[in-house]
Amino acid sequence: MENRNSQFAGDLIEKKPTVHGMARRSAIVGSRMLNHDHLFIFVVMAPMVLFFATFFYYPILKNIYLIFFDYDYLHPPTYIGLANLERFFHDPVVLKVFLNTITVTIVSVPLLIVLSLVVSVGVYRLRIAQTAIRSIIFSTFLTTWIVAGITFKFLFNPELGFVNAFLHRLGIGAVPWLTDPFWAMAAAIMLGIWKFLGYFMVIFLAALYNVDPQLYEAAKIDGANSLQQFFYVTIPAIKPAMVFVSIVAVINYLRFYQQILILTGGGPYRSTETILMYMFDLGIKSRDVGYASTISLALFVVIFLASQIQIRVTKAYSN
Amino acid sequence: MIKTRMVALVLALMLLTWGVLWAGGGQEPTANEDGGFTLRIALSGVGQFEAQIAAFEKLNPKANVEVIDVPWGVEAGRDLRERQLLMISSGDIPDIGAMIWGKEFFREGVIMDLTDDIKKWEEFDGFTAGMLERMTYNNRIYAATIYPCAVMLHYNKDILAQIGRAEPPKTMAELADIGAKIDAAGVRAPNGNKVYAMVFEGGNWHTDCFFWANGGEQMTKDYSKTLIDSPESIGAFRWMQNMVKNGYAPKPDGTYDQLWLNNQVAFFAVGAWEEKPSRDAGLNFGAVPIPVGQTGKNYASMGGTELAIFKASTHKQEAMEFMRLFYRKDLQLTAVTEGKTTLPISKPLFDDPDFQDYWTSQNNLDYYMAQKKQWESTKYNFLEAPFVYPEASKIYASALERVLVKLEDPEKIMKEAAEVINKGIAQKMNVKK
Amino acid sequence: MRVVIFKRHQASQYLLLFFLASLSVFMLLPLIWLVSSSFKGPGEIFQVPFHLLPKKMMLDNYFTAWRRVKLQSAFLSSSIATSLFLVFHLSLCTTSGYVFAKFRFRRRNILFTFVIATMMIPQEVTYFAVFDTVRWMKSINTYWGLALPFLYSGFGVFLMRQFALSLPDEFIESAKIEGCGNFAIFFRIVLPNLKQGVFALGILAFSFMWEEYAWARICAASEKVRTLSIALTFLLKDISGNSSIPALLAGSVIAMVPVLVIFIIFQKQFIQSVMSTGIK
Repeated sequence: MENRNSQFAGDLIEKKPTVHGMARRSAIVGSRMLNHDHLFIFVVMAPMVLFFATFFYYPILKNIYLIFFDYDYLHPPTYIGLANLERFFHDPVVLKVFLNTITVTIVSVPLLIVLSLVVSVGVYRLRIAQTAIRSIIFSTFLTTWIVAGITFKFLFNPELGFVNAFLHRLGIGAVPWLTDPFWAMAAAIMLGIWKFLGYFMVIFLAALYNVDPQLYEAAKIDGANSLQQFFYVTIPAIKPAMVFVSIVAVINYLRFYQQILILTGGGPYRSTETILMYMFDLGIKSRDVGYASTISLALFVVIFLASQIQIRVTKAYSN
Repeated sequence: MIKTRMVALVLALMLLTWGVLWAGGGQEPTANEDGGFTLRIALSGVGQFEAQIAAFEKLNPKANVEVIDVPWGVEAGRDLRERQLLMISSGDIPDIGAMIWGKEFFREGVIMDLTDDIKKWEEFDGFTAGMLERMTYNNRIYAATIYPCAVMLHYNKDILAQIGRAEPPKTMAELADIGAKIDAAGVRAPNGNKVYAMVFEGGNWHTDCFFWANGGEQMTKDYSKTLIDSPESIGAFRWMQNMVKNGYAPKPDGTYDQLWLNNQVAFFAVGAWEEKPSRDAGLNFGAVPIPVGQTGKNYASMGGTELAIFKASTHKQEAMEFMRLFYRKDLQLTAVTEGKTTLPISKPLFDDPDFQDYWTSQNNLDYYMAQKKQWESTKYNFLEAPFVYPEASKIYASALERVLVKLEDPEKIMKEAAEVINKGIAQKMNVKK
Repeated sequence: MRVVIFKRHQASQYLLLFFLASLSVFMLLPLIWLVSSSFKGPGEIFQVPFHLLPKKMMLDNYFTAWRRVKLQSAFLSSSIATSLFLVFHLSLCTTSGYVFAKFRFRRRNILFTFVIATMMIPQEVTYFAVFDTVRWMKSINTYWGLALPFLYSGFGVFLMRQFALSLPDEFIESAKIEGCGNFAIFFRIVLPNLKQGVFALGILAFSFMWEEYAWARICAASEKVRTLSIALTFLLKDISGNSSIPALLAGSVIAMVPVLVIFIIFQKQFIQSVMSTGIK
């Protein structure tokens, strides 16, 4: 064994290691190393592929299959062709829930990004009690959605909630939080921001810490003040983080379900009902699995398009 | 060398995983050679079933009761129903299922028809008309109701005293009148907040008692068409809306009993489960049956849980034996006196001396006599969970919200809703046989 | 030198501290309300104006929550399921992330897309089919079954790949020259350097699994296997219509405590670990 290795080492000494050297080295070194790598890759990748195929792709394919059927759990599925798709394009509720969900997303995501960016810059600059503040703001991310939903529901109680009582003290009248579509959505948006702010703040902090200080030096030399430095140095430098945050946020918001369920239950009169809520009601309450699957496919298309759009737009921007 | 070690490790891991999988679960066969068997029950909250399970196992030493205990869910019994659907669709069917909206299952033909058996039970006479309606579909009996309940009018004695009234209202007109008096007097709660005459909380299962008493009607007798857009129904909706418009009731917002527990509401239509929280909150309260409307009738939604036997079960006799345990007086009495439940399950027991003595000792005999009275006038709330076209419940709930919260014209809203509901029901009824 | 900087920025620093501290308190308000209300009776919870300290301390809520839904067993169940999940999730995602980052093989990009694409799917949608699969594996109502659908996650693999990408290649290469096998390289060289990444993923994964409800609701069928998040919903309402909001609040506080404790102990490491690599 040892002889063989030193023989290979001898071969290597003559070549310089490069970033892509590994693959080449494996080829150079001989078939034994190649098999070794392959075995490792296989042992790691195979279970992973099997897992995703079983637990993600098989259910999705099953769902897509059921789009063309009428299935109600209690009887075998019956083929109905494109009826579900047709229904989808004529369903007024579909329009409403897609609009609701997209509205919440479009309002929340930019707001969240801006707020968490501002907060993270503030925390970045803070020298006193930075750890404590950082931790407190992040800790809200660790509450569970059910607990957060219940808490916010009680806080926003129009008659008795803490928020209205507080507004009353300030002299502003009571706000009809959960009985008005606009305010109910505002409450839902606030809940989302409250929960995610800490998480995105930490991600931005990480990005901020990784900005090369030399860039700031260069800007200072050019005479840039703090604000200019922020816009011309910081923002471009943390762009990858912003893109990441924005994509993750959009995906999460489009999938809102239990987040709103407890707070508003989709009310008042379905004005905060999201796509997933409608889908689950159809699938479980109405036992209309085929149509529910249609909606889940539509949701996936929307999420996919949204991610693609964001990626293309950011690519276009950086060029 | 490392290669073989690694391969061995991977194989060992796979074996370990497989071992864990096998050790983790497993369904036991439901019938053993020695005559023993397993009775599988899908329910929610085994605490309410423990006494009966223990009694069953005592009577059948060779039997084993396996419980599939599912949480109640955000809406009453929703998770339980979901689990039962899942189990049926995957072929893993239990023997007994507890269900809130059994008619859906009865209609689909997955439940055993027990008409001939149940009619012969001793306990049969103890079933009220309302309970029987819940147990029946298409004139066949499929289940037995356990834990029946109905809302009644809870009233706050202190608030009534403040406007000089000792007696709760007997009619809807009186109730509206009291609303006007409270409003005029500007009554305030101890915490300084405004006092309302009533609240429309709890969803339509709670508030439909006002709808019915004022002349409203949900469905035709055969449940094929909705009547929420009939002139009488619109009138009832207007009555309810006026209570909100006049400021006698706040807009419903999902906060359920919070205003009531804060001494801010004179009347609350809710069930006997509210007694303990009300006592704990220090309220001075009582309960009477729902006031009657201009027709001289009052109705409350009949609530409860049914036990049904799935068709696939091979233990029909044992299952029925288990179900009948719920009607045993001794078990019902201990459940009530130990505070596990608040109500008896068989109506005749309301007049039973042991129960009456207990309630007298607790100073709430009148309260439970009101509940007994309410059991005599109940209705099946179809729109709460329709067994045909389930979307109707969301459509109706949403329409009701628009009437009571957005304060839109009931006639316009209900006509729209009725149209959609009728269309949906017609469609579904065409498809199914 | 530190003192000098401090003095120079004193005013603006204090101003910044004021704003951020106010924000922190503001963010904590809901949780403060939660903890405070968990000690109150049902009548007191909504008393206006809001009292921080309850007039009548009701420790009873905590006892009720604990006893009524057997939080003890729920705690045990959540702990077992979460530990099981963490062991597998961390090791599997780390190895997969490492392979994606440091190895080149045919179809690597396709496979990676295959994995990442799952992030766009709400996993709840898969649960009904997964129920059948898990049932076929005879793992319904088992701790293993609770963890099974989450062993790998698109996000976990993605995150670990990010961390692995930043590992210097030289270490790995020199180890290879010396004839170390891949597994040995992984355990002796890669893993110690990925500790921070594993940590970051660990905390996120822990908090996810601890509060996981949708699948646990489908998988658990007996009191023994029931997790904390499910046990709490039993306090929301039960078959006789009893709902005990105060006990529910108390139970929620109890459920949050482990997560917060772990976070407080490890927060420095965690935040540093996320910050040490950033997102490229």
